[in-house]
Amino acid sequence: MIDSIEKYMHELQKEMRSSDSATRQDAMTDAEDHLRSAVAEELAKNPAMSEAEILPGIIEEYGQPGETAEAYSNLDSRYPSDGGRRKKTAEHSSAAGRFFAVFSDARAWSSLLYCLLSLATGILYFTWTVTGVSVSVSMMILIVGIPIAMAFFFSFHGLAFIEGRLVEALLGERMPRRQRFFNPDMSWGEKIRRLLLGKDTWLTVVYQLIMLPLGIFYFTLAVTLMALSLSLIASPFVELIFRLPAVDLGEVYWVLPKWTLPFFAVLGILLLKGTLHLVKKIGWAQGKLAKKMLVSNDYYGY
Amino acid sequence: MNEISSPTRKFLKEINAGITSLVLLCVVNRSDEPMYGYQIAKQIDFGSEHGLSMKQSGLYPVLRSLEKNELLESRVEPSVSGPPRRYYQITDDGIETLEEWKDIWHHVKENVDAILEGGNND
Repeated sequence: MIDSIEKYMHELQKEMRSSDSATRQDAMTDAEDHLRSAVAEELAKNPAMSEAEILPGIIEEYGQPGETAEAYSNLDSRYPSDGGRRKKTAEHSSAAGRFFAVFSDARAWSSLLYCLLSLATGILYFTWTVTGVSVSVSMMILIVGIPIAMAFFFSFHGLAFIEGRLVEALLGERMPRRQRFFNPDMSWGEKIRRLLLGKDTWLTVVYQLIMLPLGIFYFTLAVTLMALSLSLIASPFVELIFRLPAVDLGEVYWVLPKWTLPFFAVLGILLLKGTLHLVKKIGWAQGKLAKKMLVSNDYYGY
Repeated sequence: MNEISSPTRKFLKEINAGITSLVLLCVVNRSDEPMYGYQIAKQIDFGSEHGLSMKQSGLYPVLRSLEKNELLESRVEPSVSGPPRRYYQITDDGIETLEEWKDIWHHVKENVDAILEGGNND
């Protein structure tokens, strides 16, 4: 018998243990908002009744934890995170079609975009996090230190949420679509403790710090490989049409023998294909990393 | 509602799948102001003989998918009673789609009625 919202949330969490952690977080936010709204309204109508007396009727209408869990898992499989817009790579029957499949794979290109963006986002996260943590720590000796630290730490979670949206849009890893919140029954001291010292907060901080080196790595890798493969593909045109040498060092320059040009172009295409496969793999791994570090398995508690 | 046979339950589930989106879109469209989940749920008759035979929790994932398809838009506002609340509002795309869906619904309804009432569906 469920006689408190808290208990319902725990049951729901248990029911959804095997579902995607982001879906679970969404389901729990929705359920809590709904149940609290409904209880507040019923209590206003019947002030003599208690939450435990009202709740069963509300849950009967809202759905038992098992039914709620089912509704979410049903819909999530029907509406995948990319809204079904990104079709799976079409089945190519011909050998050439199979070879070029990755070129028409939207996920590979969006992962490439993520790699290029990650330098900018990495710098942003790193700078903001380092500023926030150092300002917060040094202000701790003052009474205003706590609110300042809280504001910064909230903003870290805000940034993590935005990163989550970016990861879902570009890398396809399902991330939370709703922001998290505190258990309203929790005391202020406990809220502050969780926000400043909780495991989730510090995992987020670490994620935002390592995004700088990772961003530099992804960006450099993507730019270098793309530049190299595109210039190899372009080499026959550059030499035959524009009559420019392959390597030009001012005084010295090399012109490639004409018969080698097709090989360089083919090499470029192979390298481009390899690059796309690589960034797709990177995107996949980055998505898993983001999910591990930014999505909490603990419902309550920053 | 307790004595539903399993084929009937399956039938209800399938029939609800599409109708829920239509009903939600319509309810949100009718309101002048953005609405949050619980407000929307209150506007809809659940579980009774003539209502949608599903639980209210089933609405929320549908709202989310409507938003994903840009038929609804939402914003989050802090609330006193608990988690921040998501307020939904229909988009221009949503209004257009709703008109289309209504036409489809009327059409289907007429056809099905004609068949159920026997014979004169040609």
